[in-house]
Amino acid sequence: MSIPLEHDYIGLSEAPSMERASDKISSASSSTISSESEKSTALNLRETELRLGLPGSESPERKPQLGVSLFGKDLEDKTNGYSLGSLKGFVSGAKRGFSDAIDGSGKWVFSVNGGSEVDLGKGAVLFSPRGGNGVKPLGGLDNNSAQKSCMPGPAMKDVAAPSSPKPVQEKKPQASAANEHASAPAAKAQVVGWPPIRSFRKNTMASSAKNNEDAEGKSGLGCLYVKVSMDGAPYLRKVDLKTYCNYMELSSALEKMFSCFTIGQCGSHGLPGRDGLTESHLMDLLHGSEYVLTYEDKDGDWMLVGDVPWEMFTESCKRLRIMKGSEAIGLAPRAMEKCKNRN
Amino acid sequence: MGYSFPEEVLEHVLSFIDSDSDRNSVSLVCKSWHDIERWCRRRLFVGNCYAVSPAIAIRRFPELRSVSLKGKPHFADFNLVPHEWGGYAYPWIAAFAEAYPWLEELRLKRMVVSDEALELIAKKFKNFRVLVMYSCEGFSTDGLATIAANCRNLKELDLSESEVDDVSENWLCQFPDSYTSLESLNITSLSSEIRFSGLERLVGRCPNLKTLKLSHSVPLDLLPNLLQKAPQLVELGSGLHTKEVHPDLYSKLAGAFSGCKGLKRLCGLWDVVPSYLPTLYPICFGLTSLNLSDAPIQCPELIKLVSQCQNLQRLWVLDYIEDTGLNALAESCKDLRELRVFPSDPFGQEPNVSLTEQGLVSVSAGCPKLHSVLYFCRRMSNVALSTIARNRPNLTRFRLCIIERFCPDYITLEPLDVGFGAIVEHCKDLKRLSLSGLLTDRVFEYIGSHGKKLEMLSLAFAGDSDLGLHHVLSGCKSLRKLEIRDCPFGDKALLENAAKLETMRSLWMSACQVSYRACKLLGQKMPRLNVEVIAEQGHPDLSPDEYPVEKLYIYRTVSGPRSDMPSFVWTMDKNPALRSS
Repeated sequence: MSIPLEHDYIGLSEAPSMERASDKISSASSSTISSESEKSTALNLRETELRLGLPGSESPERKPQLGVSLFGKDLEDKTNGYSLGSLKGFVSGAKRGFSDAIDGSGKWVFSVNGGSEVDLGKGAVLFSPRGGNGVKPLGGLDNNSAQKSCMPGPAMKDVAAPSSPKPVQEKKPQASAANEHASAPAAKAQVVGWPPIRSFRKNTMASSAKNNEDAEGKSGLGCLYVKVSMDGAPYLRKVDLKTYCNYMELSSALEKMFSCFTIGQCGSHGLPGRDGLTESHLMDLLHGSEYVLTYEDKDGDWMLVGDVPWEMFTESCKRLRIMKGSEAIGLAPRAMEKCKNRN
Repeated sequence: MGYSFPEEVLEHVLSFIDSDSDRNSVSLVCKSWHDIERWCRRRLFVGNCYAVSPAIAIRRFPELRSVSLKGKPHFADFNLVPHEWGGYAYPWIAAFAEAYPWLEELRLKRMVVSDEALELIAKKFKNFRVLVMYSCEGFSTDGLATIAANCRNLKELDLSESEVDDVSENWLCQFPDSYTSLESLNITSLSSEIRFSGLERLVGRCPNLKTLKLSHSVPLDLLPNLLQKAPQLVELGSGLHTKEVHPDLYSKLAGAFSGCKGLKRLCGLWDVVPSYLPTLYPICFGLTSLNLSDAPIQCPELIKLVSQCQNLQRLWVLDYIEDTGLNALAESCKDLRELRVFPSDPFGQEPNVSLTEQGLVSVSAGCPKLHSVLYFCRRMSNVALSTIARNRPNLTRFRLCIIERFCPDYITLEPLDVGFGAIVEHCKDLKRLSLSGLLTDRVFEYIGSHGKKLEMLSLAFAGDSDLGLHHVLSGCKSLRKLEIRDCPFGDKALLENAAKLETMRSLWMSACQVSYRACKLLGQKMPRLNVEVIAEQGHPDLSPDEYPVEKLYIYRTVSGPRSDMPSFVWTMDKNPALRSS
């Protein structure tokens, strides 16, 4: 049944079911379409099919002879977008719903013959979905491809909008499915760039006191950048904690990064082998117990690196500092205490 | 030239003429005026960096001191323009480095600026004074360090909303100790920590510093010191965040704010602790601009704050302000000119605050000078829009974003055509309009017939057919920028109104229904347009011509197709002989 639906726009009898396809949230399987077709008959969505008339040559009533029905259907005068009375909010939505139907494969296209006057009234099928049969889900809206166009989305919402009881029940699933997404009804797929908020603002809000877990660190999902400063070094570095699995990897990376800053030494390598990570070990790593690796945690306290399990560390570390051993003396007790309190 | 009107006199007269459009008119009077004018023009604004090449600009205006350039289309703000699309500043800066050694000001918007470009600025322009990079990207703090180290006469450094690669916290310290000319610094977008001592010293030695907009990382403890060193500040952007409320800090801050008698504009306030807000009360009366759009302040505190700002002209705020807060605003701030209300939870399914169309209606009723509105909300009605239109016929900018797409009038469930129609009908000076909600072609009919002064129109998920687009293109005489996403507009309207496109700066259409064939046709027929097809999914030649293109960007240009396009952008050929279609 899907094949006729996708190709035969002239099949007027199919109209209701096709239009109702706007309800389809799954990947436009024809069975879904037909099963819901009954619901739409009462709404007579055919009346609101999308038309492509000549600009300027169309009267608002969209006389059929001027309008080229996108779907090659009959071009009788039907309710158009202007008579809002009859179908209320359904009007435009229904149109879109109709095109949704055609958009079964998610790839429908309509073509207008170049810039020439369209052969109106031919009722020819103006477009054919790409690939014919394959009823593909549109996938996330992130593609934003023209093939998906705006049709699907609107249909969802529009159909839900009017107060008639049927759509209301479906409202949530539809609204949540955004653009014909083949997803579960509950999840609302985000449309790229909607609402139109500057991404800059989004990032700012995400990091503001909205109780957003700082898990994203400073650079968004998937990485956890923290600053690393070293006493005496002229500038900071940044490391992505997610790229390391344990303290050893982190410390060796830091060692490479900061080796050139070691006072009086450049390119020190060949540090003792590391079996585990103890406080003294860290000191060894950092060029002869002169420096200690510390971090600032979410509460703003400075702690010695290595005291807590790695995962706990990455979750709470906001920034790293390689400080002089003499300054780090006061840290140890606090760190221990804090760990105790946590556990 | 049959008269002896000395050029110098004309030049002197022209020096009083600043407006670009006036100068353009002057240059059309006669050849000699054209010549004189071009030699004495000092400022240039290029609204689309691809509309003209650097070479052409330099050839026409050999003595520029100040240039503004805009790169990416506006929809880049919403991630609709693929990364790597273009908008590179380097070619311009490199050309200017040769042609304008005395260039003083560069203002870039939505452009890609590399560290190399910044280095050129730093080294080649001896009297460089103003660098504004609004919503730019591609550079790091290393580039900023070069600017700081070399631009001895820098007055203004503004990085609003730009993405900066923070690789060093030290760049501010690159301003030499002898450097004292800073007047305006905006480093809000930097997420890094800066060397605070460097900042304090910088602020302390620049007596003309008027604008200081800092980033999140400046701790509250530092603020009183900064303010005391710069009591002449007019504009401040800062957080008011602290983990604990110290009584000392509070009084220090309150004292410092009181000392800033000239403070007129305030922004930032990320993570503000409500108990610190009263430190601002002394300056509220003098504030003309308040940007709380990053501040998670709730309604009661907002009301307390805003009610004291009787001279407020501009308010940007989150929807925490709610209808009650906007009512208070309408009562207290009679001088309000611009209101922007941003959503605190734009992706939430349900409203999290009690902000509706009523808030906007109140403000429209209570603030007679309100002319610029950006409003995010979750419901709207035709009645409310009509009321707003009647209340405020002086609106020049009206951008409404109903968060849920295709949202109808919540009372009647009809489309919002009539409401927006009222806006364009009553607000005869409307220059900028953004639509949302459920909209049919009818709204475009209204816009086409009434929006005669409309210059910029943004459409999303609206309309039914090409007729909608046709109404806009044929009716809006002043239209310069049209940006459309996810609307059922296709070939007919575009091809019928092809000539209109040459009178506009640009047209953006994404997820619409313009076929590849139409794009090719347009490219061939309109040689003075660049018809750029963006197709990340693959070359449009691989699909039938009838298929719609993903994204389309059309703009007029005197420089022909650009040469820096990424692999997914194609300019439609202007020479039909080269193409077989």
